Amino acid sequence: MAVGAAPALAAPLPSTGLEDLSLEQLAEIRVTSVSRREERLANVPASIFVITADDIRRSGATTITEALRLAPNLFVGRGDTNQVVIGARGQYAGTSNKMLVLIDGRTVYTPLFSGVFWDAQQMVLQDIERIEVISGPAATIWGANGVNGVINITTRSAKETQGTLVDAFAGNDERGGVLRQGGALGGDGFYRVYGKYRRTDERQLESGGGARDEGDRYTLGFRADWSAPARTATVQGETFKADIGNLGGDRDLKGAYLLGRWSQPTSATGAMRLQAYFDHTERVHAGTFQEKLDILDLDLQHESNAWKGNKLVAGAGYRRARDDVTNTPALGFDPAHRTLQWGNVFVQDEWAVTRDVSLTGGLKAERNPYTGLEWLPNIRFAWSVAPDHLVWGALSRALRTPSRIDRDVFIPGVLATNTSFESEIANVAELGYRAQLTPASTISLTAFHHHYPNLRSFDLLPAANLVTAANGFDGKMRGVEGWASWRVTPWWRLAGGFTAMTETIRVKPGHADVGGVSQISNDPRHTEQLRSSWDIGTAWEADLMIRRIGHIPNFDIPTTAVVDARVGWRVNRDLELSVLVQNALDRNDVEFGDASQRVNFRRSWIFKLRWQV
Amino acid sequence: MTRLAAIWLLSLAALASQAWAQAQGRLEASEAGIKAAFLYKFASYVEWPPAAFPDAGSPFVFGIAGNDEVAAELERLVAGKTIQGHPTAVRRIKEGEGLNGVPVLFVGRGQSNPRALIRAAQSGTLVVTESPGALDLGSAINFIPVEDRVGFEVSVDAAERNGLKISSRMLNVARRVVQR
Repeated sequence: MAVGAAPALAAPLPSTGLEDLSLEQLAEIRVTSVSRREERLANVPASIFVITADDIRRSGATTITEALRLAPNLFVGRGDTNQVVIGARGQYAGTSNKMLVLIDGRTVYTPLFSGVFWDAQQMVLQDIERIEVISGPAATIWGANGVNGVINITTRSAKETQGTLVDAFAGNDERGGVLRQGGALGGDGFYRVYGKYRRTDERQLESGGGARDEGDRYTLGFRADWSAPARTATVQGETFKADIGNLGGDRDLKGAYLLGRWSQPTSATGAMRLQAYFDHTERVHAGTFQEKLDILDLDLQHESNAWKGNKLVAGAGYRRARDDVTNTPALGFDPAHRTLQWGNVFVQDEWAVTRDVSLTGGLKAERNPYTGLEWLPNIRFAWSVAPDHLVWGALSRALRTPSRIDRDVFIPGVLATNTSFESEIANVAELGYRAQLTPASTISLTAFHHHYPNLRSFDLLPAANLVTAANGFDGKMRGVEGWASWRVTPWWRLAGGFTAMTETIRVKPGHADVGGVSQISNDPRHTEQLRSSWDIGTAWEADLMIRRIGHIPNFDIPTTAVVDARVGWRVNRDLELSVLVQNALDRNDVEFGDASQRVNFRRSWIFKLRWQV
Repeated sequence: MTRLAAIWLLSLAALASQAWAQAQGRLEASEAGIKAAFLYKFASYVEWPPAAFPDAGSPFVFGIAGNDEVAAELERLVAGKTIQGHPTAVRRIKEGEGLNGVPVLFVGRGQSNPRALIRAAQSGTLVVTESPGALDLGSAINFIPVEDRVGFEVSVDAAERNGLKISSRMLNVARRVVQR
């Protein structure tokens, strides 16, 4: 296999000559992020894109939502600075509710509406090790809600964030900074403590006038890791507070979490992981809505290679959420306090049938408080048609189980609760191809077909003249997504990606939907992006990103192309200065939301100083 | 606003000329490439028992299991080279295959039962792995990630069990040395 590959790689790879280096020099060479990703992903039968720490640094992003734009299989649309919709494979309308988002194993979607309150995720980006973005269902392992995709964010071990980091940024729309201090705990233990502050100014609405979306956000956290051979333990926690504005009234958010994780081998061929966390958030939307939420989550997972050619993963989980909503005349939950409990068990086996073909089958049984027991199966195959060329396919059944907003919410005189709303099902078929074409270039292509037989509609109850949530839509969605990266020269890398899809949604017989198809199907039919990362000598780097989002029908937002550009200068080993210009061409950048409430994100710049010792 | 864009473009143009001059300055490589180079270099810092090479013509074989990328990189890297006078060869090891005459055995992450393979290695074989905790399974050298670099840990005991002597220069570079 290497024989075929050898001639192609002779020219572009910088590794020629590695054998002439000493052991000491070899130990100092950085692993290029491209290859590290590809090595781990080479055989995963799913549509997965990885954002590396270096990608994030070079994007100049100051928030997690901006960093997620790096994934070509995600749609990121801002209504204003704080209200962001993020999803994969469609159904972004309003609140994208079919994505599962995990930060260090902690599920951050809210049981209120199965979506994510992104305004409460004020992460320190410098701590992130990698972000895996899976488009398509991954429900067997991750659980219900991983219907259209999973975003899995992993932060670095405290051992890798030793010393001091100061990162300060200032620009015409925002300013703030990050402080981090890491140290040793004696033995094999390490810790870091960190804080982040970010202030944003008010942006301007497209329709004119201020968007009232200014805000102050504070984050304070720590992480400690202990590692002995094969055993690791982690304790981490964070508290945050955000005071942000909104056209509908100011929002005050605060919260904290504490998480512990333990992993150890159970035998020569097996390993287990136990994780527990507690998460508390408080949210006040002045005038409409107030909520306190406590979540307790326990998770146990076991991996085993005991049978030859098989990798068996099994696990069990328990989750408990208690919320306390203060009802207002505008919006209410019935009941106002509710304790919800979920439990699940799953098993998945990856069987290497031959040297080149593997089959994966998995099944999860999950119990939820609304519809009881649900089954989430999937089968996958991976076939190495040639070395570094993988063809894969998958059939999955995923579902979004009801959340509070589907069953318990009411608006006096308008919306009635519905106790019979069922889980939204997705039956999904995928076929993909992934290859390392040359040592310097990779490609991934996926075709998908999703069938949703019972999506949420809002039906009229004629007797009461009220509207209520029902499962009145049948939806089909098909499309392709793909991306490629090419290290043109050792110092210049190009990466690009696209999505294209079509949706057909119809009202099922017997349903009188009044909300309209557009409440679900309001997605751009295509998105494209291209990134150029250019190292200019050892001290300078220049980055360019062009992204283009297709027409968003219901909001009538035309196809938009936006250019971000960045120049970074590594002054010395410890200090880096950079400047980022977002929307460098100063085009109209309207991303998402109703015409009267959305911001036009005009050109902004951010100067950054990063000092690390 | 337009001025800022102009400055940005100008600085870009000015820097472009530097790029050509310093293109070779950046020390980056693929993980597989770095590991392959390490495997090749290790040979210079280890002393094998004479029985490992019956005669001067017998090849110096790198046995690779569970990581095709490292195997491919190594094949390219050692092509036409000799180690201590022996011609070099790379062999992909399959399950149950004999390990006689394999002075360096690399057991990659893709190996389904690494323990059995590590145990099968006998006198005269240096076992290198890339999995956390693999030294406990009997490996002599284990690659570990060190931020975005590749480091390694060494078990002197495991090496000695297979009749190998590891030079102190290698131990100086190791991130961790296990020794009774």
